[in-house]
Amino acid sequence: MEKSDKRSNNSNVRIPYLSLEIISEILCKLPIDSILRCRCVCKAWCYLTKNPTFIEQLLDSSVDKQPGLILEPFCADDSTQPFLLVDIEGRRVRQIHIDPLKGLRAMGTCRGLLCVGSPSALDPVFVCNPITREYRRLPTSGETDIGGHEVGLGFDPSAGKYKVLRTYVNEGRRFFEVTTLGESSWRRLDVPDGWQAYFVYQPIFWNGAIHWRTSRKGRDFIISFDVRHEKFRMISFPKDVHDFDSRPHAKDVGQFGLGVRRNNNDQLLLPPEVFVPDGYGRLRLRIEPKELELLGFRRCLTIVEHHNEWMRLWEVTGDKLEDLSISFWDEHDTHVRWNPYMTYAVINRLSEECYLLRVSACYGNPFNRKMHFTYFFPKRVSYQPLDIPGLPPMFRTVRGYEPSLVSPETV
Amino acid sequence: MRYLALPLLSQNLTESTARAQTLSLYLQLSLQVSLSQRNESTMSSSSSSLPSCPKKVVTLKSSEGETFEIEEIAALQSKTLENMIDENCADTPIPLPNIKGKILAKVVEYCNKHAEVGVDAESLRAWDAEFVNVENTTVFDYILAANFLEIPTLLDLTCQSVADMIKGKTPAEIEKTFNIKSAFTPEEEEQVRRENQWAFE
Repeated sequence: MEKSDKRSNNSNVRIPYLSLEIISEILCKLPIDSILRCRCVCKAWCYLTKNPTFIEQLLDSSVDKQPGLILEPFCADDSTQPFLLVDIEGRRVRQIHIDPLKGLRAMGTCRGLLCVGSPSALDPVFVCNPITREYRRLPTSGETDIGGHEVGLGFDPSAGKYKVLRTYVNEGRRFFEVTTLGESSWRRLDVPDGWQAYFVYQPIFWNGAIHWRTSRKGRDFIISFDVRHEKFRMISFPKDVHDFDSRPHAKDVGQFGLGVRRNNNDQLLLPPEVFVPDGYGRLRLRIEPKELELLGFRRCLTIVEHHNEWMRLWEVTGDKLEDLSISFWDEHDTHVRWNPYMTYAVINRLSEECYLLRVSACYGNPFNRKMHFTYFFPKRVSYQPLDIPGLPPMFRTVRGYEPSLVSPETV
Repeated sequence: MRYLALPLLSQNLTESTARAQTLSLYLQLSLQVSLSQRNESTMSSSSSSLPSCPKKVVTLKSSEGETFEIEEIAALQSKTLENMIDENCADTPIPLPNIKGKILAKVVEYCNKHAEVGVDAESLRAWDAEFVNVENTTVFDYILAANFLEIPTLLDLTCQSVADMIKGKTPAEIEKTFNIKSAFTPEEEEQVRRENQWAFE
């Protein structure tokens, strides 16, 4: 079939043949729903998008794309709600119904797979891909009467295997268990005694480890679980103060820690404790972080500290779990006095100049609380609230989710 | 040995552009270094500035036989050409029977633009956007040329441009754009569509 292009003035009117390799490159730059629509174009494209090599290529390229978010709506009654896939750029919300997963909560995510379970029961736990609707049930445990159940998902690239780490409280003690996708039972893990009473919050998978923010008696910590070696490590943020270094430092002191900074109004801005290696000794400073969020920004584990109107970003750096350190990275003045009636959470850092935030505000009275997304431009100090039809008034975001075509069934 | 004052790389460069610019700066620096070494070995007594070195060019020959010159520094953005230059095969015109003259001229223009130093990111982005603001068939030709010559930045730019074009289209429209004949039977197509129904809503 000759395609004549009236506007073209070259003699060759045939479309040049593009190899599948090139088609892969092009498809990887599309949002996930476009890729699925492309499956209907022809058989070759359909098989291409199901090919494991393409799926890996897509995962690698997702760093540069706008994130697709998964939300779970909060609702007053116990009725089951679907997952919502939000396309920020396209300003639309799609519902994802997967029947067996009704009523369960998305707890962890890794390479586009979600780990879904219930906070008050050990069974059932599923690993699913909300894009392809595939899911897989994890081994049952039989324990009942538990609480504080949190599940995290991680990936061990050396073995190509996914592992699921979970924790729960039974009769006052906290347990940690792990299973590899494909195994038929959970394995109990030994953890130090002091960990038994910690609370744990939503996990993030980064750099081969699952990281959980935990707190105990008001102090915050990060528990990191190395997926490959199945070892735990703790990174801490203590709150008590003893000595502090009074030398004024430049804003970015790199990974060897920092001292006390003063802003223009000569106000002391104190960071949390940083473990400083190599003879500097330990700097312990007084802080009162109102909120700490753990995020995987563009493949980097970042801690966002909400300190009044300041958004402070800390970076966890290091290649191996033994060498991790936390260093101050950047801070932004949001120019808003956040308070219990108006809070925000950082969803992602889209670029140097743009953050995606989720703002929760009470309109009129404390019972009329609504959430929305907004872009925050720190340099220009401006906000751009996004109007996304179909967004529920209150919802929970699954942190670190990146849409992919990975199948939980073939691993 | 003279030290070169390197111009500051502007901020906010895309990574690939930054790499290309860094590479070209590095090469300028190493060209100067090898020149000064040559000067020392010939024991020139002159202490004035280094003699100017004629810029090396590479000649490319299109499918119709037309020749195009490109400076070596700009040519290094193409991995294919870089390999040929390394192996000293670039002293005679390099035949590119897959690439028409019209396309090759534009590719050379792209490489020259991206080898320029001191262009700010914003204007380069605008230039790139204009570069791909052409017929679909021409963009496909750019893709094939960038693929053959292994120019990652151009491949990225052109593939993104095609992706942006596909984004809003239905499968039927995509088939037409790419001149693909779907081998699906109506039942098969219906099944695939059903499997991915939510993407069509």
